[in-house]
Amino acid sequence: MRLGTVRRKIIANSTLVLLIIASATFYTGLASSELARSVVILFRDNQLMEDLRKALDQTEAGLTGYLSNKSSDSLKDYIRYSTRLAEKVRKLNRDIKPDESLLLQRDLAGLLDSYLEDTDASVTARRGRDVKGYTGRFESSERAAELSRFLITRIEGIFIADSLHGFEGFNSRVSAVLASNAVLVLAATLMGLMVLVQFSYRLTGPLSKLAEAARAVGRGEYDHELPLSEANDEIGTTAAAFSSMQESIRLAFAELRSKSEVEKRLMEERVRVLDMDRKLKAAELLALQTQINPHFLFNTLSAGIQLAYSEDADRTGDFLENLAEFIRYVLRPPSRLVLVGDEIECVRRYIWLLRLRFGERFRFELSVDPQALRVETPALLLQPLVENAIGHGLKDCEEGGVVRISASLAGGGAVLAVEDSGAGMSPEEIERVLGPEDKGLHEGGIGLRNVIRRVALATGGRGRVEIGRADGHGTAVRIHLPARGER
Amino acid sequence: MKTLAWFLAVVFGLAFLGATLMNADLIGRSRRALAGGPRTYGSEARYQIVVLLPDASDSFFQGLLDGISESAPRADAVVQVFRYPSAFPDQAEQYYDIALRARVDGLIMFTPRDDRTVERAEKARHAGVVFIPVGTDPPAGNPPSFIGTGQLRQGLEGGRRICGRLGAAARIGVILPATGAGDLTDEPLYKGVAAAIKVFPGAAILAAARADPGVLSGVETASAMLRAHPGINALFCSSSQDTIGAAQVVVDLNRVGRVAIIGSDETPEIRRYLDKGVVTASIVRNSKWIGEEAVRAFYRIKEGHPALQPREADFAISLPEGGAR
Repeated sequence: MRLGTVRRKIIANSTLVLLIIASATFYTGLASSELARSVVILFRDNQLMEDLRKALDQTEAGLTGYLSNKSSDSLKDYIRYSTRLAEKVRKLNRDIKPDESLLLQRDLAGLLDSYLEDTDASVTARRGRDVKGYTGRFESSERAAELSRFLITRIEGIFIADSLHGFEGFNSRVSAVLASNAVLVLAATLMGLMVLVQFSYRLTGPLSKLAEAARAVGRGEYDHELPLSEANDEIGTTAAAFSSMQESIRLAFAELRSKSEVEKRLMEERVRVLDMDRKLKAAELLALQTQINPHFLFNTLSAGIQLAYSEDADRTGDFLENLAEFIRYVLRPPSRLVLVGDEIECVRRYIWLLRLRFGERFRFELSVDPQALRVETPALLLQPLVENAIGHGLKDCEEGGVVRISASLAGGGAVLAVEDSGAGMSPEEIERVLGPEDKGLHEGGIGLRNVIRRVALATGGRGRVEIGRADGHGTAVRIHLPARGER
Repeated sequence: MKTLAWFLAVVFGLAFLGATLMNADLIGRSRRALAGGPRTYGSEARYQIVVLLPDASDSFFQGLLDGISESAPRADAVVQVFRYPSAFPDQAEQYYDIALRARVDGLIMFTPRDDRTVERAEKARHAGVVFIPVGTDPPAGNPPSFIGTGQLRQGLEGGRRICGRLGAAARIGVILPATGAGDLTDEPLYKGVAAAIKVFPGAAILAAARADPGVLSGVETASAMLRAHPGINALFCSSSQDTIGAAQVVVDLNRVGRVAIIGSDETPEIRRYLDKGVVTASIVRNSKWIGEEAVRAFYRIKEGHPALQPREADFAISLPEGGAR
């Protein structure tokens, strides 16, 4: 049988209760038995007197028998009976104490001693054929026996009186003894009942909590706290298992929630992708539309060029031709890769067009390393930078503004640079442009940010854009392009 | 509820324990009660003295017993009293025999004047028992160690008291003790009264009677005497019981003042009659002294001293004024 089981507890508790009640029952039984045995005490002294009387009678009969027939059998009887009488006499009191019954016992003892002396002397005389002697001692013994019986009767009377007195005392307590018996049995029963009640509470307490927790879980309250059961039994094990199950359910629900969140996010992502796809398709559609329109634009511009040349307006024809080529370059997809030479050519046409607009207000210096012309670069990097230099860097410059454009080779890659002699950018502006946020950027800043992103995207992060000061004032933007194989 | 159950379990447990202890105590007490209780005996003594007296309620015997009982501890003795009915003196023989055969240490026995006291003393000596006879008058043979009251002197004093009051006109009725025997005129008490009135010629004893044993003997005897002899103007009583009986008769017959009563001994009732003038005087025998001397005589003999000669106790006179002379 395993320790700490509910069964063992029930058995132990039941045993305890049974023991309590059994001990009360046993005790009351013992007490009753003791009480009944006590009554024997009442007649103890009277019994002694009765024994004495009987032994005296037997001795007397034995003596008479022997004196009558002088047989050895009757002598044996006499000796046996007189010995028995002497033994009984030894039980009598011999002390001199101021108590009537004790003194009477002492008298009786003396009398019976005297009696036995007479009987012994009578027997001896009989054996010696001394007729006078044995008859005389026999008569004397008869008188002693008579007096002994008188005293025995008187002592018995005293003992009976004592017994009656004792019985009165005994009887007066019997009802109290019975009442206390009833009280102790009742108290033991109630104590056992209380122990049982207490135990049932202790046993069913954890079960009630468990049931309450089960109801709470049934209501969906998975966080209902189940107090830890200290009981090392089936209930404790069940509570622990329930607690564990509750925890598992909690974790499973948390996992489900987490999965749901992921699925939700995935769904949102899918929606977003679908949206982007839709937007892409819209963009493609728009691009197709914009591809349709340039044909018309270029055909028209081509017709204008031919018209200008036919009317000898060569400068107008050159303008339209450069504009048409510039637009053609600009309208191509911006994500394409071109050669640095193409970028330089585009910038040249843009500068030609700007000179028509601004005349000699700005000076453009172009410095190109021919070896750098074959380096690949994302399209439309330099034009926005030149536009920024004119539109922002040299905005307040009425004349003498310089814009330097260079393309050089460096480490197998190319460095494209656009510098202006304008007011330049503050470090805060440079930090904002290089930072992740578009917030607070002016139009030029946004263009510069687009250049930076496109360089990063096209070169896989290996290309970079530096913004700094140009010869003590103005802005210098340098684009470092990696060699082709490194991309 | 759980806490209450614990609390009640403890309460009932205590009640159970208390009831068990009480029950055990009650059973113990019951057993002791059955066994006669925790009897307390006095300490063991060296000697056992048997006192053998008639079962009379007379104050003489009570005084005698008081004297013996009070003196016994001084002799390192315990007293065992055997009383026999005055009407059955044979029972005295039985107790006497028991005392001798049981070989008690001492026997103080009331012996009437006609008792075979000398023979008894001899038998006791033979049995190794110290025998001290006590009584009123010395029995025949004048046994040693006897201690009595001297009824002759008591009679003389009574006669003198009567004649001192009535002179030659005294007509006396004498009530003799129930313990006596034989011819009334041989009683020392009677002789004492008779001797006392001789000096008053004309004074006479009109009647004499022995009281019967029993509490009403004084009443019966006095009543019969006064009815038979209306000329009696004085009663002489030899015991307290007879004195009280005679006083009641005189009161009942409305003869207070006309019949003088000379009583014996003093009890609260006699004292009351004295104070009311019903009883003229009472001759108080010092029976307590007799008891004390009896124990002292026993102890002397036990200590190896020879027995003393017979002795008589003194007496006092109790008068209405309350004084004793």
